[in-house]
This record gives sequence, structure tokens and C-alpha cells, in this order.
Amino acid sequence: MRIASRILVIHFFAILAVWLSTYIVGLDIFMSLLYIVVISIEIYSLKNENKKIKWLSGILWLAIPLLLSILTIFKLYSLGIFLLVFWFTPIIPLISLKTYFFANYPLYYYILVGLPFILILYFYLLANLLKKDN
Amino acid sequence: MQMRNIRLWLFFIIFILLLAYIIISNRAIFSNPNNIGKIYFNNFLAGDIGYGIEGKYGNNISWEDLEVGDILLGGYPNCSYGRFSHAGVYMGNNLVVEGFGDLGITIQPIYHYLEYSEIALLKVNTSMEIKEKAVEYMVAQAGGLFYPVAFKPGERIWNCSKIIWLAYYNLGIDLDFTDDIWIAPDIFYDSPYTTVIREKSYENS
Repeated sequence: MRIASRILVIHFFAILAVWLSTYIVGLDIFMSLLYIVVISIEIYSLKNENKKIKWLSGILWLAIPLLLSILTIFKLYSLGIFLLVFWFTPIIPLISLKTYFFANYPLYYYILVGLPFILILYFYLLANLLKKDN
Repeated sequence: MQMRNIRLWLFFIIFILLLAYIIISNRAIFSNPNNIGKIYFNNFLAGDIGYGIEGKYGNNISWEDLEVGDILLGGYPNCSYGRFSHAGVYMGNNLVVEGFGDLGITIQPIYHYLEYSEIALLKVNTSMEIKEKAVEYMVAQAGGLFYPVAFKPGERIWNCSKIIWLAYYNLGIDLDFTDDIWIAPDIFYDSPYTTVIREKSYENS
């Protein structure tokens, strides 16, 4: 459980750190990139762990945003996108770089709703498929 | 093993350092009992969470005398950060430029302001040229990312109040007399640069 919860713990600390870093213009972009590097290393380091730990790590990190995303897509929970913004605070600075409006919603809306699905794929690739390279 | 520990605690350490930096560089604000953070925290402890109890209260306010660049404030009961939970700027033709969580910076019809239990229309006391430029700036940010607890610095991450404040601040009008690190809609109501055109509360609407 300790190993599996590492990504979640790092993610929570990153939410706080990246949020405060938006106070200093530019630092937030660096912090976002740092988050991606740290999380990627962390996922990659799971490659030699057993399936149970991998599953648990992925679920702890992505189950909540996945649920929020599904609720938002099917318009079952009006605060879904509001909570997704908070959950994905560590990469909000990168998402904020490009503004665009499409079919009544801004680009960041689609990114936030789609991100859990993309991250599941990213997690799977990094934690599993690269294992043979080791 | 050591690198694993560094990765685990890295963001926590950065958080503490940034927190210390922000508090030290804004000592005067944090010692002020009326700073937004403290108001929010105290109201949160009292049970008022987020933007309050949403509903269709029907305040039947009139839009008469509203000019381009004037500010509309709306609020629901039990809002944790003041009497008003939302702000927008009138851009003419019954349209308002404003910020929402799901829509970002957007242009919307004015009529949803009729749903608020608290509403105030504020005239910004400056020239029409400045007011039009402020609206122009806000419209140019359409699609911009909405983050509820956005700090004042920066032009990429917004909330409904910050974009109004910055639009006017860039034109030499500082609507925030508190110098807080955040902006809440109530600031505009109390600003010396604004005059209340008319307002309504749920009790007397």
C-alpha cells in the first residue's frame, strides 16, 4: 500500500506547490514540467512491481478524475469540471498556455475531461510496455 | 532509495518554501483580519462553503442606466467569500463578459443575473473610452482558463473577479483598495472607483 500510494501523495503535494507557484508568473510552467518528469519517473519505477501494486497505484491516482470526467461527460454532476480543475492543478499552467473556443466550450474543458483517459494510457505504457527494455 | 525520498517530498518542500515566501512578502495583508483568505476560512468553518446555495431566486432588477464597462455582481445565500459570489462586465446589447468554471472567460446573455438572490449593478467612475477598452481586453481573453483561487499576478489563469480587476488595472484604474493577493466580487462593491446604480437582496426583491 505504501508503494502504491506514492504517486497519489506526490500528486497531492504537487497540487499545493503548483497552485502557489502560479503566484510567480513563469515559475508555474516550470513546476508543471517538473511534475510531469517526477510522476513519469515514479510510474516508470513501478515496472518491476507486481500487478497488484501497479493496479492500486493507477486506481489511487486516476479513479477520482476518471469518475469526475464520466460524470461531466454525461452531465450528471455540474461541479465535475470545477473539481477536475482542482485535481489537475499540477498541469493547469501548461493547459492555460493555449486558449481556444470550440462548440461552446473552451479548449481546457475538453482537455480536462479527456485527460484521465489519456493518463490511463500513459500509465499503462510507462508501467508495463517498457518493462522489456529493462 | 535517497532519490525515491527526494521525489516523494520534493513538492511538499517547494510548497512550504512558496508559502513562506508569499506570507513574508504580503505580511500586511495576512495580518489584516479582513483579508479574503481569512474571511473564506472563517465562513467555511461556520458552514458556508463555496459560492453558496444556487437557485433561481428571481430578483427582477432593471438593467436601466447600465453602460458598457459597468459591473454586475450576483450572489447566493451562504456564499463563503462575501455577499457576492460572481462578477461580470456589461458589454452592451444585453451581453456580459465574465468567467465561469466550465466556460472559462466567456460572453453570455445578461438574463442569468436575474437568478441571484443578491444583485448589484455598479457604475465604474471613469471615461467611456477606458470602459470600452476594459471590455475589449476581457473579450480578447475569451476561452481563458478559469481557476477559482487564481492569484492576482499573471494573465493565463483567471477567475470572474480577477479578469475585471486586471482589465481596469492595466488602464490605470485599481478597483482593489485592499492590495490583497486575491480578488473577490465584494471588493468592487466597496471600491471608491464604483457607484451602486441599484441593488436588490432576496429579502426585499
